[in-house]
Amino acid sequence: MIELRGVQLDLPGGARFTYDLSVATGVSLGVIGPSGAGKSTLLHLIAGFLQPVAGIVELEGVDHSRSDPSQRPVSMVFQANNLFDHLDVATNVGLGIGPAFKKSGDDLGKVVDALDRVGLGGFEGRRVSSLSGGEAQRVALARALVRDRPILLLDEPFAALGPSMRRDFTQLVSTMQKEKQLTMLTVSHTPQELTDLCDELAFINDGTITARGPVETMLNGSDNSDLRDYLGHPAD
Amino acid sequence: MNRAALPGLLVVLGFGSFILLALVLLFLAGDGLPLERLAGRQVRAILTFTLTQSLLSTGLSIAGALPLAVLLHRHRAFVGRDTLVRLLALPLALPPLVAVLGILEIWGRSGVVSAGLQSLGFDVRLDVFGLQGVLLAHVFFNLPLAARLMLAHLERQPATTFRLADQLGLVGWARFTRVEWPLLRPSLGGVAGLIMMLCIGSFTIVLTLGGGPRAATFEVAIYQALRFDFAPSLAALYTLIQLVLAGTLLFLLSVVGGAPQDRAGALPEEAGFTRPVPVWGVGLLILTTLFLLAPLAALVAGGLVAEWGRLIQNPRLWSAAMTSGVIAACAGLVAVATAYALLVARSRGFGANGIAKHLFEAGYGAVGSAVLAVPPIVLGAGWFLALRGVPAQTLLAGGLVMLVNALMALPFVLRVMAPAFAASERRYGALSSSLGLTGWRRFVRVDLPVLARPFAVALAFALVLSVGDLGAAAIFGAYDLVTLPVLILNLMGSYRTGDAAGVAFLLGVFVFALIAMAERSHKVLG
Repeated sequence: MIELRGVQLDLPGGARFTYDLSVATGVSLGVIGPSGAGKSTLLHLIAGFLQPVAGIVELEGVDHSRSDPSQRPVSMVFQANNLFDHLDVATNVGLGIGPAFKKSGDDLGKVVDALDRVGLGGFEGRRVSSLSGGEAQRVALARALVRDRPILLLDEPFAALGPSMRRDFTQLVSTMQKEKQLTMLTVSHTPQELTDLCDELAFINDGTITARGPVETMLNGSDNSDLRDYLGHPAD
Repeated sequence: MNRAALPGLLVVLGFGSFILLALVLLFLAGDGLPLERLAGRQVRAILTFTLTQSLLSTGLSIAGALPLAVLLHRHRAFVGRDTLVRLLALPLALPPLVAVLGILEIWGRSGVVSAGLQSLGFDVRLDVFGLQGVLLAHVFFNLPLAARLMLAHLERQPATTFRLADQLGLVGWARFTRVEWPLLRPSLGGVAGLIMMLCIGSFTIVLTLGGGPRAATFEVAIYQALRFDFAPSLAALYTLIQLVLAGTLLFLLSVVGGAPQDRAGALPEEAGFTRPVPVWGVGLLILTTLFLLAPLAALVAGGLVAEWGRLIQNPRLWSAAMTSGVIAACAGLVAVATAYALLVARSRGFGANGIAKHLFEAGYGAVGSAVLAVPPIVLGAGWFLALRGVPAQTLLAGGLVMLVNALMALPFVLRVMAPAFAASERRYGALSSSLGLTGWRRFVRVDLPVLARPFAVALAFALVLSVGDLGAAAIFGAYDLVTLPVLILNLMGSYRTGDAAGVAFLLGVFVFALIAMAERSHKVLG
């Protein structure tokens, strides 16, 4: 569960973003909006990479407004650079269990299972540089699996993938979210992916959530003029 | 503030105290500042010489560098251009004392130019000692620096500006007055300020080529006051004046926006200009190449004909090489570790804002560039006085020279490491934080493997600076601490120039090997 109450963030140049948001456990929410509107900023606030100047960030019922990113019940998959290039695939996934250098036999088993789940069984010893874009994103997902946190944040994770890879990856994420009842926030510019992945959509404009609703309603029947402009459906 | 800030804070406090204590020790050592000598003839003479030589050196360097930079920017396809651009970087890496020996071989009384003139029937023996020698050496070092800075400034301009000039047929003088000069003019203050700063703080060149007390900068005067007159109060007075001079210049430099970045040679190919080099340009290129290459060639020639059989049996050479090697290695490692601690604290140790962050930023800036305002000779002078009557002086002196050298290398090390560190933070910072990778684990898992090459390049630069330093080492020579540059100075002082050339050759080879390794790493880094 995610609760943001009166969360404010000051940006260089004097602008201020303000977020109020509630996402129940197991709900998948898509986040859309123009470039620079504050979509990724919202995810970074929840993940703890940014600290609000006011307000409460409550995750799974606990106030995490000031806690370290690694202490939050959150896994995040970025658009790119999700992996350490100099480490092999197994070590990258293993870091999801914890930062310790040595891993137990159980831990290694979890890594192998997670890679199997994302269709990369046998990739344990591969170098990151030898992976395709889609494989790299799957490794990041495998790490999120072993990390086993109840909230998953996806910041344009499909942007660097080709159409068929996008489809496969979307399916994989959707299955994982439903199985584990993850609370999930996905930033994307592609309506199709959001339709496949999300229960609801939130529209952010100028650092504020100005519209929210079921995916179909938001994409086709919203009366929010900014959202209609953004989607290319200007008012009749 | 969090735990990541601690090592960086300790560095700021440690080095800050090291600098302040050096100044306090120096000011407390004598019987108070002889302020009455401020208006005296000696101070006036030193001030006049310092300002005259630095103004003339700056003017001559810029006057030579300006057409060279314009030429190298206009003509990108001629044979040897890249080699010349690289040659312009060489003097920056050359230990000043080594360069001085090369300059003497060419321009000295028994040098190549005098011999050439005599063979042509002129009864002339050039005298390189005095203002003319100081200017010659300063131009040797600073003309290439100015040319690289100006070239880099031109290369940072949008390529469309020059394409438009091509399209409009702006060539020659018209191109210079309408396009290049207006673009370069704003950067000249920064370039001139930097060169002036380097010349005002010049020690080795003035000490060796100044030709005596009539030609001394304040740094040389501090050295002479301590080593020959043992007059700490006078050294303190000179230090005060030097600090005021350097501080004023640093302030002026910050007002004009600082020195531009040196990234010559980075322009994409398509922005090139393919007309043939004009006659005046060919002349300038040949003269510049000869001016820069001749002392280097003379050094190599001098080194090759040195009496190596005798030289390598001299235990003083090996002892000095060992001392230089150990001091340089330790100084390099300390400088790199210090820079890493500072960068980690700056990037990960503080929140987005707040007083603590601002205070640390101020400390970071001060420690990172302290050596520009408080030169090695001043730092060395303070601690030199502290060592009087202390046991194990040679060992302590070595430690102090190492610390001074580390501090001296810090601005350059930070300049190499900071961009790579920032890029790594952009790429892996959020990911590492989200996975709880902190402290030692982050160093081993992320920073060391990702930043190994920039660390190595920075270490090479620090080694080069330290192994060629004469400033601090010269002062501590009194405590039997003999490094390679001190040995060269001693050999020159006892007129054993052949041996001095041999040792300088060894030092030069070592420095160029390091630079070549660093350049290769830089290339791999892209």
